[in-house]
Order: sequence, then structure tokens, then C-alpha cells
Amino acid sequence: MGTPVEADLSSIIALVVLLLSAVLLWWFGLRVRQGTRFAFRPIAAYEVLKSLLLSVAETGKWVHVSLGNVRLGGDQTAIASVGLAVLDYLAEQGASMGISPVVTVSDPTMLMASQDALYRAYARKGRARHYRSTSAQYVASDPAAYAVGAQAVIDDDRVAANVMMGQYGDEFLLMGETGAQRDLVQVTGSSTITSQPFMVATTEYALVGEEAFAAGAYLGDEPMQAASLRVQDVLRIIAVVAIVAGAIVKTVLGL
Amino acid sequence: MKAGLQRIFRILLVVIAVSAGLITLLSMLVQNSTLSLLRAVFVEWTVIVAAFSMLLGVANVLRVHAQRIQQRQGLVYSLVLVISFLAVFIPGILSPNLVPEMLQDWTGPMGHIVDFAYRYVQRPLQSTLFSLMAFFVVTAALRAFRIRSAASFVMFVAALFVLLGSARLSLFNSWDVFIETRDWILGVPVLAGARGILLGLALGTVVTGLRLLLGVERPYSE
Repeated sequence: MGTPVEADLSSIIALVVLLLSAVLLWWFGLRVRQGTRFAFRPIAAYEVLKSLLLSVAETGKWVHVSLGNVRLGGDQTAIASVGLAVLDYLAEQGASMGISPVVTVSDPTMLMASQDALYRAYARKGRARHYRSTSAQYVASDPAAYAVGAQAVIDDDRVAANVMMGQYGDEFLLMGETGAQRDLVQVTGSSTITSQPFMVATTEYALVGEEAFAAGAYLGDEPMQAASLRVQDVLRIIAVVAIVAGAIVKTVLGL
Repeated sequence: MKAGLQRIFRILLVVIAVSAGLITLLSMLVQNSTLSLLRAVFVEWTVIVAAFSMLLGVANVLRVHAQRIQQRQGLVYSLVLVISFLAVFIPGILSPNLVPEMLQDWTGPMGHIVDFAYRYVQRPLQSTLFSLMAFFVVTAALRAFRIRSAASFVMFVAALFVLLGSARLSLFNSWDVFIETRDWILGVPVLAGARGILLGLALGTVVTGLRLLLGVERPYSE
């Protein structure tokens, strides 16, 4: 005899959305593998990221990558994985040019993950012995303390570009504004709505809203990443249709 | 042989990660005692791993700053950090039962030294830091409101109305128009835009989470 299984309506809806997303992911993944190529609108921030290491390598300076106030295992795991994907991309490019991004994190679990991403990028390029574990730095777990620590790194004359991908609150401004005052090339993306206005105000290349979650599809060549972006589009259409239908039903029927 | 073992190891990693993820997810969506028990076990493991990773984090901080002291880069700041760390960490981990009676109130995680560092150093510094944010907001706003395009012009006009509406100066009789316009701006276009962004963020989180759950994205195995 198994233990009874119960679920409320909102849990059932969530389960249905997840199952639908999984089916869509499988379907679009299959289509990509069969040769379908999905076209995506160009996003300036990703174009800049693609050539960032090359332009910085010429100056002999560093790229700072901030992974924000995220940790693995919490509700920020999704944006944490996006930050790690961007770091992986930059680290691989950097490894082939002999430069490593300087990474700051606010959680020890992210320290391990970012050190692993850096090491694997070097190993893939056959340069594992050039990897330095201190390229990834744990600053502090408190958001304000982290911002001050990362601000000091951004303010360093040897930093030529600043990439911030993670979760930020109001303290984003301390880092973003420092980068803006130094006229650095800045690419930012965040999973919180409170930091979005600050990102737009201080950064030329700000990834607004879900654009940050498209990093894998824009920077990598993995077919499932492109498929997942298409799933996101379909889910958005479904959500918009549901909102409009709900508004019409409420207005017309007065429910 | 070695490649075969590596392949099996990678598959095993994916199976463990995907199973743990799916069980945890299901336990949050459906009420089942077995699933809840398994989730509790996984959460406990996560806490243990996170606690050990904190030790690595501390080691990383000390290593980075030792390197800076050695290279004489920001020497004073790094020295202050290391000394402050030791001054709080050592009394903090000392059990009050292991020290002479006169020092018992000063040691341990709830002792006077840790309490003093938190209450009189960390908290005031945090408050000071956030009070500085006002100046950062002003310089960022000045940059954002520089009219370079139609969009920045619209943003400037909207900000002007919100600012005047919030100031409530009532310099003339029809000042209410600013208050009403501010309420409309915040209640209609701003709210609609914010909800649109929130919807996008939620969908992005769901799909990214799904990629991790289904093993499409495997940052733990290569």
C-alpha cells in the first residue's frame, strides 16, 4: 500500500504547465535536431559579449564578472545557472587567449561552481595548468558588503569591462554606477525587477527581463538551448492569450 | 576502458541529479509523505554541503588577501580585513566552556565580541552605505535623463511628472494635475510594464529550471 497522493488546484496547474513545457522542449529539440533553425532577434548585449574578450585582450586588462547575490539550491538557481553559462563562455574564450575573467561571488556554493567553470574552460583548451583558483573570489554573503567588495574590483584600473549577471537589489547601483563613471563596457542582466531601472540607467547593454535567460541560446550552439527559447516564446503567447481572454470574460460576463 | 567508465560516471551523475530534482519538485506540488521525507533528506544534505562550502569560502577570502598583502596591492585594506576576520572569528568559535570564567561572556557566537562587531560595526556601516545610495541615484538619474532619443525624452517627462506629483508643493491651484498624472503613470504604464517584465522573468525561470531538471543543461557533468 503506497502513501496517498493529494494535490490542490494551483499545484495541478503548475504541474500541467511544467509537463506542457517539457513536451514543447522535446518537440522543439527534435525539430532543431532535424535541421530546423530558429531565427532570433539580435540582442546588442550578446553581440558585445561575443567580442568582449577579444577587445579586452588587446588592452591587456581584465573582465570582471559579477554573479550577484545568488546561491545554488535556492530560488535563484535558475539565474545562477545563467550567470555560470555566461562565465563559462567568457572563460573559454579567455583561456584560448591566456586571460581569465575575475569573478566575484556572494555565496560559497557559487564560488565552487565558478571555480569549476573556470577550470573546465581551461581544461577544454588544454591549458589546465594555467588555471588560478583565486580568479574567482568570494566577497561576502551580505548584499551590501558584496556590492562594496565588487565595487572595489570594478574600480580597479586594470578592469576594462564589467559583466553582471545574477540577482541584485538596490545595491546594484553601487557597482553599476562605478562602472558607468569609469566608462567601462558593461553588460548586465538580473532576475529582479527592482534592479532593472538601475541597470538601464547605468548600463549601455542591459538585458531586460527574460533576455537574461536567453544567454545559453545566444552564446552557445547547443540545439536544446535554441529549443528552450522557442518554448519560452510559446509559453508567453499562451500567457498573453489567457490574460486577454480573462479580461474579456471578466468585462463581458462581469464574473 | 577509461572513456567507457567516464561515460558511465557522467550518466550516473545525470541520473542522480535529475532524480533528486524531480523528487523535490514533485514533493512541493503533491502531498505525499514519502516524497516529503525524501525532500527533507535532500535539503539536509544541501545544508551540510553549503556549510562545508562556507569553509572553502573563508579559505578563498584569506588566500586572495594574503596574495594581495604579498604583492603589496591594497596592502592596508587587506591587512585590516585579515586582522578583523581573526579578531571576530577566533573568539566566535571558542566555546565559553573552554575559556577562563572571566572570558566566558566574551567568547562564542553569541559572545560580546561577535555581538559588538555586528551591532557597532557591521550594522552602522550598512546603514551608512545605503544612505550613500541617494547620491548614486542622482548621478545615475542625470545620466539616464540626458535626452538622446525619443524614449529617453518620454522617460524624462514621466520622471518629471512623478517627481512633481510626489513633491506635493501645491505652488498653484491646479497642482493636483501633477498628482493625478503621477498616479496614472505609476498605476497604468509602469505597472503594466513591470508585470510584463515579471511575466518574462517567471517564464525564463521556469524554462531554465526545466532544462536543469531534465538534464538538458548539466553544469555538474562534462
